[in-house]
Amino acid sequence: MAAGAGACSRGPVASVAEIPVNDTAPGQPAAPAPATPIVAAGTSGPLVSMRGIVKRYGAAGGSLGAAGSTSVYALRGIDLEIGRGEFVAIVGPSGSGKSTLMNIVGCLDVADQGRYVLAGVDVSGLDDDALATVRNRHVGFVFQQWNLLARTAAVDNVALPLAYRGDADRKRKALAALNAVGLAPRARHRPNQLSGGEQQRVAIARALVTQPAILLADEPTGSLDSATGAGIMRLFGRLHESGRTVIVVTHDPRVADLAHRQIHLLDGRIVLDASTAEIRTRASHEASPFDSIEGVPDWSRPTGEGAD
Amino acid sequence: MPFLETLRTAMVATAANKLRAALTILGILVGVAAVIGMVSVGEGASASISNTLAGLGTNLVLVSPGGVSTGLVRGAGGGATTLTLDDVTALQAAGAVPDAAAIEPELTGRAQVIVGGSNTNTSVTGTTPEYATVRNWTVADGAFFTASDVSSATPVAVIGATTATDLFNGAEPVGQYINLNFTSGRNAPVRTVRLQVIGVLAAKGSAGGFFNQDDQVVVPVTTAAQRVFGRNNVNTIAISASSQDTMANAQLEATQVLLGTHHIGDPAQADFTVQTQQDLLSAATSSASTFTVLLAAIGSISLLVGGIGIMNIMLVSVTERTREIGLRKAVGARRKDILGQFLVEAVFLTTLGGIAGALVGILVSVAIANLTTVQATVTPMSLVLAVGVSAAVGLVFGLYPARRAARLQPIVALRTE
Repeated sequence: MAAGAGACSRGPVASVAEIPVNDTAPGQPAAPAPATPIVAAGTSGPLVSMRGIVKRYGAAGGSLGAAGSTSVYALRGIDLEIGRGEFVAIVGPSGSGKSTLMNIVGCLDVADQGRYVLAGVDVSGLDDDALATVRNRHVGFVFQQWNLLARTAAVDNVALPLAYRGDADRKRKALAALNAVGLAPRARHRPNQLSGGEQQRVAIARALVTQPAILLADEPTGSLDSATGAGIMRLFGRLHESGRTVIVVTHDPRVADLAHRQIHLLDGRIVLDASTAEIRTRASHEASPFDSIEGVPDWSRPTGEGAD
Repeated sequence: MPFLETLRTAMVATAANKLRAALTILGILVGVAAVIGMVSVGEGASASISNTLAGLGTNLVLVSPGGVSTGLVRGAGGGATTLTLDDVTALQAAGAVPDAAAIEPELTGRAQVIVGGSNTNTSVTGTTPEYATVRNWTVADGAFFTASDVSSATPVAVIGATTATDLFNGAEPVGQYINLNFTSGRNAPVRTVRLQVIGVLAAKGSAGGFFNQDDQVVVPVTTAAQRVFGRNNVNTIAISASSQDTMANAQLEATQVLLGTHHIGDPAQADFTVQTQQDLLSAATSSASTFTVLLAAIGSISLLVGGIGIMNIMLVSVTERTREIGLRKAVGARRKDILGQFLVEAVFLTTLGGIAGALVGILVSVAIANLTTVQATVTPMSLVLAVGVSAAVGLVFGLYPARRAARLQPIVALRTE
């Protein structure tokens, strides 16, 4: 289970030549969010840099199933910087915009307004194929539902991102990544022969195999029992300790507490951006850490399905 | 994505839905087998026509009565009567057709032939001894009649191999007598002529259902004109050119001679037609290839239906695998990767169908050739074409579903349950 140094060493984040760097994309700064920006110490510059990110879903799109006839704002102006090597939780209830934010951070979706620079690449104006290349180079995804290919061995699932690079050495790298999550003996097993926790670790190995700048996990423990989920979170903790940038999207405060920095979203705005230590300190001084912040929901009540 | 990996993905996806894949392949299989079977029948017909015409004679130039006729179709007995034995004499005159090696008239009709209890309805040709040379016949038994038989209208006959079998059933025909019963119409009196068989022609083989050259009775032209049919006009004058290169010259020379004897100035007004073997062959093969194209078109319709089946199943596959497509795009698949994946899958299915269909098509044409009288010839070209076309069907009908897959947005695809 030990995070293998070879597979999990910090990946190169140098800008990729084939991805155009566009510094002239129009970024319309929106109203500043009521957040306390925290610049993480000890990093060499922001990995994720967002300015005035706005995302709305048109009524025709129906993405949110909104009753309103006009477009619905999912994100209302996000300014955000995440440095290399941070362990961040994006927290919020259903409809807070956290999944939309994750999709934009992971380049699965593009913002309607604002400027987003990922690992030195302005991705605001990129087309589908260029975004696919950015995702392949810089982002490793872990989904709630794992999304492993059925009838395909674990090692081939892990090698999939490398196959789209045409990497001839993908089999060996995939085995190393599986070894890093402690599943090397299960390499030839198919997803239906693995437990939920094992499948999620295969998914994590798949996210790690490309040595991405960011490991982006959407409710990674949402479909697991609490013990297995805690194991997955410990794995994320170790990956962070080995130098990875980890971003976890969750509605579960217990999961969020394991991260070092928490970004709380509500109604498409950042309502709190603080280190977990600071949040704990406030909690110890005040009756409720969120009393001073208007609109923060009651976290103790489970919100069920977290997908927006 | 390397091609082999894409192909492997296609095979895994195919293996995941074996029954569905098999049924889809079946659609293409039937189409390809239909095309190959149909084309083989067409090709067989064309080949048998070529064989037949090649067997008709050597460097043959044929003069027939009446204006320009099309193809092989000529009015039978009731056709034009503009060629006579005098025309034959004019053509045979020394130096009239310098490029002719041999010239013979053919006065043809049908008659009932009776020997004891056996009888058969067959073709009777009145001609001269040159017939054997011009029409490539050899005598297997006995002898052909001579020029003196022609001049004295001897009641003798040389019979084809099939006729000999029909009438004598293995007994020796030479020296036997046959009775020819001929009538020029329903109410006309029946004329009976008694002929002695003096020879049997060597078999040339059946000409594929068109007509049997071996079923005939050959008599001196004078005997046919005076004793059997009672007319002087001939159905064909066959000229054997001295070589293949002189056929066109012989054709021109014969035309000139006959225009003279018929007193016709304008060749377009000619009341006879002079055709070379090539003319006949090209007319026949062009009609045969029209036939082949028609059959191929009929077969192609089932291939089209198979293609629609492919498109249908690929659309279902894209819908079912929306999440997979989203995942692939999330980890870095570009549009062309997804497009390629689904195209390769479609082409893989149709090519399998094409190969299986080619095998079934061969079996079908072998069965047709062996169980019916129709000739069926599978050409290697039609196999290559069938497999190629089925791959193309996969490309064409797989393109739309593959484009749909390639254009899916990753977040939409991942959200799909």
